[in-house]
Amino acid sequence: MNLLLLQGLGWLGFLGRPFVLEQLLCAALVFALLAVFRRRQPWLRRAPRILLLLGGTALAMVLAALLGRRFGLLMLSAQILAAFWLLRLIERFLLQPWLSPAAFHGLVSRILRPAFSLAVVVVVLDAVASLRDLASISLGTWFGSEIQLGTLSMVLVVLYFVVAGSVYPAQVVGWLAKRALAISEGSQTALVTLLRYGVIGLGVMWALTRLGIDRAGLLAVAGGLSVGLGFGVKEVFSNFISGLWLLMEGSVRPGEVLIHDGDACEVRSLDLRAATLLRASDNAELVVPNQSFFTSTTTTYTRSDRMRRCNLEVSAPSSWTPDQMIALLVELAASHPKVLQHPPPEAVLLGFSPTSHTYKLSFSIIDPLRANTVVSEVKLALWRRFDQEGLLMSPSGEGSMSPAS
Amino acid sequence: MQILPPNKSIQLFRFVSFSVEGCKRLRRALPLLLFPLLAGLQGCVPLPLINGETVYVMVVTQRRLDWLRRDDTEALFWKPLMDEFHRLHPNVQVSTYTVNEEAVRDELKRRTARGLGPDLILARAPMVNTLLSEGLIAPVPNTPSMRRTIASVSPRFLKRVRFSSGLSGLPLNELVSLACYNRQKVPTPPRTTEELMALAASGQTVGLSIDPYGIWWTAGTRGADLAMVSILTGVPPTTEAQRAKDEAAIVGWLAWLRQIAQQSRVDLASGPEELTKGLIAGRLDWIPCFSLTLNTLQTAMGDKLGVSALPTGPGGGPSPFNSLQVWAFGLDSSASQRQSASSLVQLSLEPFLQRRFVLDTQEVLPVNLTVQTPVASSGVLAALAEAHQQFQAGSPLLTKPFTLIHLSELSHRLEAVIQQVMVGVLTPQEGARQMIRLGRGGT
Repeated sequence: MNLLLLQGLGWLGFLGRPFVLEQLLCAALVFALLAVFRRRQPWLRRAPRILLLLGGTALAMVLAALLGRRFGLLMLSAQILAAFWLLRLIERFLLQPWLSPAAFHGLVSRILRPAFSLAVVVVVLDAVASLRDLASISLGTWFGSEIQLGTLSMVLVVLYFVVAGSVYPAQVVGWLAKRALAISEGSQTALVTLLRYGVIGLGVMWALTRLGIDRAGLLAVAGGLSVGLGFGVKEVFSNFISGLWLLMEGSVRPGEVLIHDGDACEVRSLDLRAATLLRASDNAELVVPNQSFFTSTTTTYTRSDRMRRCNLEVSAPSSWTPDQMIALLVELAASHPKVLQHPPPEAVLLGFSPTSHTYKLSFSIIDPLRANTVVSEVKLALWRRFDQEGLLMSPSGEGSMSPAS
Repeated sequence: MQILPPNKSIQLFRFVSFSVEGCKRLRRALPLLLFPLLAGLQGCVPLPLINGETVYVMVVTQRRLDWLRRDDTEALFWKPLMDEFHRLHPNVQVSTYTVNEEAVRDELKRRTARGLGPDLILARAPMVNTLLSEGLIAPVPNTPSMRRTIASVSPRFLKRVRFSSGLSGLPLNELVSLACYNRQKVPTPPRTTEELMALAASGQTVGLSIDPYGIWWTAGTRGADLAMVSILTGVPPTTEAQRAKDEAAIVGWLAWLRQIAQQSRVDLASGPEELTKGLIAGRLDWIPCFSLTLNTLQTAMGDKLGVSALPTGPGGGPSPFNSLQVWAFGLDSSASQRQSASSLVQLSLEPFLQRRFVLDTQEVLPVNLTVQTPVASSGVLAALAEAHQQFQAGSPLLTKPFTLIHLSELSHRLEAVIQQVMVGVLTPQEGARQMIRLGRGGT
């Protein structure tokens, strides 16, 4: 640990050197002058700050060179600033126009900026310490293998980029599979997720091999963990296995619409522990443990197709004959643009009395999440028609509707 | 969280208050304040983590010996030195880092341009000479205390680092080439190259490698050492007779190398790593070894390891490879860092530490005039001392000050020619002519 501290923080000793202090003060001066001038000069305010810093540092570098002083640190700063500026240009002009906002944000925040930050850390560490010696610092023996800081850092970095970056090649493969094999969107999403899990699994196996972890020791630990799994982390493990199973089985896939607690929801993602559902009625996102889909009945509207059958109960005065009323109901439902013509809308007589008859109107729609909206619109059309026909003025108060979807 | 309006002030103490805008400015100015603050702390108050000053030591690892685990060196060389240094200078930390010999020039250029160069460099003499000639290090400071230290070092070592501008570095210790063998297979080490060949003929496996550690020693045994010096230094012989004599010596050496390479029990390895691992694994029974590998061999082989001087030949004694470890001074040190670095160098040359390095590591020889190698205390040390004598007598190139500028590129090409002769691609005569041409700057 002392070695690690000395290697990691030993650079503080450089601050006692005149050559280093000169350069740091120069950089601080550039920073301060820019801050002051930027506040006073409006044209400077319009210029990107990073470009101003880059220009200022380059100017300081030239001055130091002319005066015969050291300027390597200033050059390093300028190189880092230039690289960051270039990265931003690439993001703005090469990536942003071609990617969706979500994909762009994901790529920038999960891959490009972390990679850039990592590169800066490595470059700075290389400048002030020895990467080779830092890497060879021993962190002890784990499962019969000596772990060195360099190996562990490399494994962690690679694993991070595998986890964060595997989605992009998986998406490309999923897109190709959809085009080539004509699979559904849900299957494509499931394929992408399975591919990601596969790549991450391979990454973990590579990490264990790279670390040289003794497999016998690992098996012993896995044996011990299995007892722990039985108690402490059973739910987590169960959810993970359920998630994998659901994806492979295809019963709950991202993009599917299902009924959860009486509400129609769309499956947004199926992750390691839980599925994220979007509830259509209030746009709320529900995080539901995978296990609950595995152990209870799930009503889905998108298993074989995305069609949903909606039902509506209507009470109408007996002044209209059932034939007239059934024709009216079918005509009204069929005239709604979101109602499918095949299978056709259907109305049946459920019951009759001297004052009113009860009917059930059934029709199909293509978007299960819009069922409530479509039912409401059909009811509104019925109300208007009943109003025109004077059916709402029944002395007995008949002429009511109740949906049963 | 309470959000303050922009004009609201934050009362810190009775007389100190900041506006929210002021706080924002302070936050922006923080990076500016950080560097002078740290610098001030460094200058005035010892920081708890580094506890005052730090001396940076760049340890240059030798080409082809980069694979060696230096844990033993840490324990046997650096620890006693650091313990003693910390006892005398409790507020000075020593931070060491290693750099490969092939990367050291670029590394020094890069670090020095930033003002982050080392205070001390520990490298072999030709490398230090090269660095001084390229202006990447400073000559040894000419202070009264340093002059006293210089006077304590044997002149034969100082000769290898002396230039008109002063000393490129201060010798620390000497490493030599010798012979390592498996005692169980080789009860008596061969004293001559003929005995070595007889050993191979009797069924024991002899390992050689085409590099300065593994094969250059044989040039002396065939009388080709002076001719090779002429090639390596790029100074051709002045007379035709000498030229013919040199060529004949090189042809004789190459012919002998080709002859031994054709023996079934002589293995040609890629370098010291393969030779060392071969001896440890029992694949090889006798190898030329460099003293830096002795600890690794001793740890792995225990009592089975035998160490002796290299065999002599009909042309004379061997011309073993030898490396003088030298302290050199960096260009970027502050005055106090230079002072601390000088103290560390002077301490490392104190007789009691020089003696301890020899006895503890059993792989280096002292440079201090007053310290004699205790040959009676160990067979390894006796072999080291004998190897040193062989070197003094038989390696005229390495006893002079020289740089690697001409040599580093040339040695690769010469090794390629030797290899081609040994595997039969070139005849010894063709090989000798190519080597002479390379020495004159040809391709």
